[in-house]
Amino acid sequence: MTYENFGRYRSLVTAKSTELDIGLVAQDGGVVTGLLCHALKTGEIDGAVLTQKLDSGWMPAQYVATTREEILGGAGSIYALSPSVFQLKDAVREYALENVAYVGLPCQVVAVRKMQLYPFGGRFVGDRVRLVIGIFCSENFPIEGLRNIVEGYGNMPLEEADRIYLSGGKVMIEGESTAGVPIKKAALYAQDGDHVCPDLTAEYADISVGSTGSEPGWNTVFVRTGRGEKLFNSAVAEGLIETGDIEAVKPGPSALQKLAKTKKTTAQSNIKKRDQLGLFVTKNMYY
Amino acid sequence: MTERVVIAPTTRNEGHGKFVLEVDEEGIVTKGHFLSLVIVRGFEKFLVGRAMEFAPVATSRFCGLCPPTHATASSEAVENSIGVSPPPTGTMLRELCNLGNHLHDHPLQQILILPDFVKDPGEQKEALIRIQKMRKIGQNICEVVGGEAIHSPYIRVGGMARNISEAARHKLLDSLSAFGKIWEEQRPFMEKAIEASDVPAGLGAHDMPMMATDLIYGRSDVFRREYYPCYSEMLPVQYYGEDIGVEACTIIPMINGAPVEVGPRARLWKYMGYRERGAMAINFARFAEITMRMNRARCILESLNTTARTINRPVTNGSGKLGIGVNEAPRGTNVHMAWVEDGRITGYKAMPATMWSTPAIGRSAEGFHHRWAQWVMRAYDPCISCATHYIILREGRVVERYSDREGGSYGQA
Amino acid sequence: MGRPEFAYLHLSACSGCEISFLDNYERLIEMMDMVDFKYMTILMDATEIPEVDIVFIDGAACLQSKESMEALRTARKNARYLVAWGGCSSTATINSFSRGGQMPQPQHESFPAISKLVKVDAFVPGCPPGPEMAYRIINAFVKGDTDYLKYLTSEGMGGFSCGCDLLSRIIGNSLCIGCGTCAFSCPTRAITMPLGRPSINWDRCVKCGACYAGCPRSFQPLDLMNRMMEEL
Repeated sequence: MTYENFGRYRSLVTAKSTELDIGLVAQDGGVVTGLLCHALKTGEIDGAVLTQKLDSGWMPAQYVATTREEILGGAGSIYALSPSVFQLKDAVREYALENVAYVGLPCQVVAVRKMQLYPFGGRFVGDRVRLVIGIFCSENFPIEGLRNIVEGYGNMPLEEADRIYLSGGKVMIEGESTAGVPIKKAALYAQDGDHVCPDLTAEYADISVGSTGSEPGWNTVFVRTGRGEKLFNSAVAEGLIETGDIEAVKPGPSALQKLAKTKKTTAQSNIKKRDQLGLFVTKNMYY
Repeated sequence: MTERVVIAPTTRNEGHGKFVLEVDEEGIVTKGHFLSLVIVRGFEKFLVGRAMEFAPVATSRFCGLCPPTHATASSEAVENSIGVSPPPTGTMLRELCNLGNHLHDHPLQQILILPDFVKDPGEQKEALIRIQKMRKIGQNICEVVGGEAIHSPYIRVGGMARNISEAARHKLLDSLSAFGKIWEEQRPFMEKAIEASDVPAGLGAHDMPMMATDLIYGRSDVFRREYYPCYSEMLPVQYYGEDIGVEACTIIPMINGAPVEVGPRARLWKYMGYRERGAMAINFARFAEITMRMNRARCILESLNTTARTINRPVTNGSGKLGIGVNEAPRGTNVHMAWVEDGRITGYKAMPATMWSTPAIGRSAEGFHHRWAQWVMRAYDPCISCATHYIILREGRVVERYSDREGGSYGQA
Repeated sequence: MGRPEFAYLHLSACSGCEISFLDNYERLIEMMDMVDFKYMTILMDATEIPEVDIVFIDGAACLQSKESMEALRTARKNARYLVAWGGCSSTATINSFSRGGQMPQPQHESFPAISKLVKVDAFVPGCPPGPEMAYRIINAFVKGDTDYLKYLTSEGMGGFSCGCDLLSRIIGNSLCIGCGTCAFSCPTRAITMPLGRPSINWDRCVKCGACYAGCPRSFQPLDLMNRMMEEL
């Protein structure tokens, strides 16, 4: 069955990496990390632009990974702003990479696609981006917003949090203890630019990966383009990625669809409000 | 009785040039003037008051064919003024970035002269493809090392902003091998085409002195010692006469009161005993320079330490001393001068390669029919946007004499 | 019906945009097949700007130079479609800093973006823009792909620009999402992204407009992105 509000896709599955070392560092199913490692090994890519924690303070750092170890270093989600499109420049300049994988949020995926079509400032970068992997996103936070959520509402110093994830309508923070902050409260600290964004599932990536819709320890995966399909199928054929029927799992695609639709209708109404204020809003935003 | 032949704009060169040629009854040039018509954007004027960091960024934009030579000479002028120099790896990377640029810019000249020497469209197309393939490799080297191929942001005051990765180093070495293979075919092709043409022997030969500061990279100490003490300039209305000079956009720099030739032939003449004369000799010298630069780039890449430091931070912000940075651009000696005080530019002046060559090009056209004038010009490969940069204003006052004892004085032939 | 006719006019600029154009390398030959090159003084000997279907103009006319103003006007008159190719023609870029006072023509002072003087049909900011843009625009023009071309006159494209545009038009309109594309686009590396927002080093900004043009929130070429997804 094909769902609306997810953009164009060829297949929708639940999946996870079968590799032990990836499972240890993965946020959920480790599919992004698994696909990148596979693509690097086969030579499909010669590097990837990723995000990792700079330190225990959850500050995101962007970097160019060219080895399996370095790719593993980027596993795990960080709920703070990571302007990694910038590092795509380094990847093709001083690193001289020719087949780069880019992993980013829906807005960054759109930015990369736009850059591939209109390279105003990115001479010969577009053709060297071999693969774009998108991560689901409802909203993102400036680092101090994340601190407010974890320390202010979660009563835990940000530096002590080992794992942050979303579950059951809450931002779950695990450190010495566990805390859960309702998403409704956390949402106050999200950046305002997200409120006009209609894209939850990274509709313009080659492959989009997230957790909503699948069981814990698994990823929800959209395979969108021919290029993405080839890579995903080859990883599955090698036994590196295990897949399952997403219709058979709980909560399933309908939960994801609800979130995706809400993001679109909220964006639409926020855009209308801004129009009425006379503010400039990006055209063609509602899709 | 003399007649005047005006060729404007010149074609198949960068920028807008103009020939004003006095010719005899047979059309032979008796007095040749070549001038720049490129409008004066006034960089040196707008640099005054700006942070020293902006100097290489802005002056890179003198020219889009040879940006690294300007960013480099500019960085070195500032460094010379404030007293900092790059670590060794920084200097190597800077030279490598320039070499990448030369390996696109020198072959580019062959695209401009191709229609003069190669008439068969099939051969022209094949040659164009070979040249573009070489240029792609050169530009790629410049891009990887300098951050961008056209206007390299990694050329900074104090060195180079980034080093390259080991993988990149190997890739660039491979690409140089590929460059060599193409050049092995293209060089004899061009040499044969020029030799087979009906260019008159001795075209462009002259007795003007030549200037060069280095075989490849450029040395400001050579300029300071050998040329600067004998430096002077003239305004175009004085040099060309009023009616021609009024529209000229560059001043006339001179050594010992006369114009000089700079560029490939000058460098090979001074440092390798090359004694061929004339415009075609410059073309052949340029071909030799491509080979030399390819080899030098290989040398640098083979010994490059990709983990070493590439930039030194300045420890002072300058006290207004004159700093000179000199780089041997593809077209010749490129001189930048900067006065830096408290981190800001208080004075700036540039004498790029084509500014030196401009009067020489006019003189070189003499003695032959005017139809050959542009052939002479194209041998010099003038980059006229570069040339149009000069100021004799510092802090709003006309400077008539340098206070620096090593300098020469203005306005006297 | 023959190929569309093409001209390239170089005004006051460094020629980096011309080199970017030539840096289509072997594809330059394809471009010379797609359109009929009638005028481009760096490559050809024609010296008069003819009537053409499409003209690329790089650089700017100088208000104090009669000849350059004439050349710009003639190009506009003689061309059906005018592309402001590169920063100096689209947004003035480094020419924004010019103030005159320099020998031997100290009266040369003002080099505004050409849209101040003539109607521009497509802006291509960048210092210089990627070579692919030249190929794509010519290809789109020949194929009648107005979808590709129309975004080049989006709101805020062309005219005086600066890194400040990110503050006034993006952050100031609550549109910034911290993606890093502005920093990516900047040719001088004037922009860094501390704490997920652009920080502009005004000592390096050359006012080319690439940051705003590259930002996903300035314009979003939706129909082209959809087309791209089909093809990938």
